[in-house]
Amino acid sequence: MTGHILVIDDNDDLRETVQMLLESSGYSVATAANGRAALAHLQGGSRPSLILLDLMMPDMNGWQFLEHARGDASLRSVPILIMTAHQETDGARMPPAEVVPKPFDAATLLAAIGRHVSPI
Amino acid sequence: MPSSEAGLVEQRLDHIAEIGAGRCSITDAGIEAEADPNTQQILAGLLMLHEDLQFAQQRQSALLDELRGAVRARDEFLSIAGHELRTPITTLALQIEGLEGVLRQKASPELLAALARRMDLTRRQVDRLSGLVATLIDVSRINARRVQVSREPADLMEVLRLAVDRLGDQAARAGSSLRLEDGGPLRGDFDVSRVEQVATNLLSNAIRYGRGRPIVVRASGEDGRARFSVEDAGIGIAREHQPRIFQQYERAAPATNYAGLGLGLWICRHLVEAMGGTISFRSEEGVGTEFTVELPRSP
Repeated sequence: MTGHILVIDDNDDLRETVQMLLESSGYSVATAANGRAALAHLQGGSRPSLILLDLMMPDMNGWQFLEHARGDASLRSVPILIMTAHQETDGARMPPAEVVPKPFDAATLLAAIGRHVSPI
Repeated sequence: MPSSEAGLVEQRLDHIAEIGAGRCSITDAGIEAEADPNTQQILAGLLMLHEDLQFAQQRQSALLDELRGAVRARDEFLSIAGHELRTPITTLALQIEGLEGVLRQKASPELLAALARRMDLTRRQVDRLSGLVATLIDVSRINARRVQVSREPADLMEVLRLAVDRLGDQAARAGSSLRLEDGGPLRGDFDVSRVEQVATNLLSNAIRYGRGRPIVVRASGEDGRARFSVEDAGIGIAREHQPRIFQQYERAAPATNYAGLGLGLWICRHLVEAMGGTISFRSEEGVGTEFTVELPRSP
């Protein structure tokens, strides 16, 4: 599957940095600052091939977004990678999702994404 | 002493013992019922003593609660601060990598050469920051008794080889040679990242306190145990500091000469113990130090 990636993170700097990294690696990227903004983006008809999700966010956090995405038939098959600084606790709370622990380097993130999608 | 007086003394002693144990059978009504004014005075004194003691005990227990709360708040703060710092460190590390990528593509060889050293130093500081943040998180994890061990089949020698390779530059900068006596594979079920963390910590100490002299890493195994050691010929640990080097915030070397948080060996001990192993050392001031870690090869 070719890579259109939705990055959901409330930290502007990290969001932009990840976007720069992914775009320079050949992916197309959309971003959202929280779960609610992401849902609004998805309701516009956009279907990413992978979602990169932060957990601690105001206005619909990552857990709530994940719950919503798992209950939505059109999103259920989209792989979700979780970026978190709390990998021990968060990993245990949601075994079905893959976790990319912070801090991560470019190679780790690209390898995790590459297991699901390829650049365009 | 007449027997009635002896009985009275015994009774008073019983009261004192009761007070010491936090109990007291003296009451205001009981004191008033006594006919002898001297006895009344003694009983009133004992009752006051009991009340003072009770107040002191309550105060002590309130202070203890306060203290426990403060320690808990400190550990929670360390955990939150550590986790919060991970996001900007991630951004910083990714931006530096991105910057390097752009430079490699676009910069002239001269500019690249001029910036190489700066990039190298910057990258190293990000690694140091990540290490310090990991230490903060480990402290809160150990204090909350949340150290998790995840074993996988691995070769201990290979883990040590990687740690030695990774610290080779750092040792060279300090003027120390770093050598692993490679005795062949040492297979077992190990928590690779934790073993590597302990080895890295011991190696960093050896480099820091090693006075630029050679550092040797050895490993061996028999039956169900595997052992590795890190030996330096550095400043050594003074005998009077030796009993407390594995304690939290303790540092044997003077803080005015050597930087550090005083947490490395404390973390090592907890990690090694969480893996079911032991850590020990022998050291002589001015001669050097050897740390030895022994680990079970299966859970």
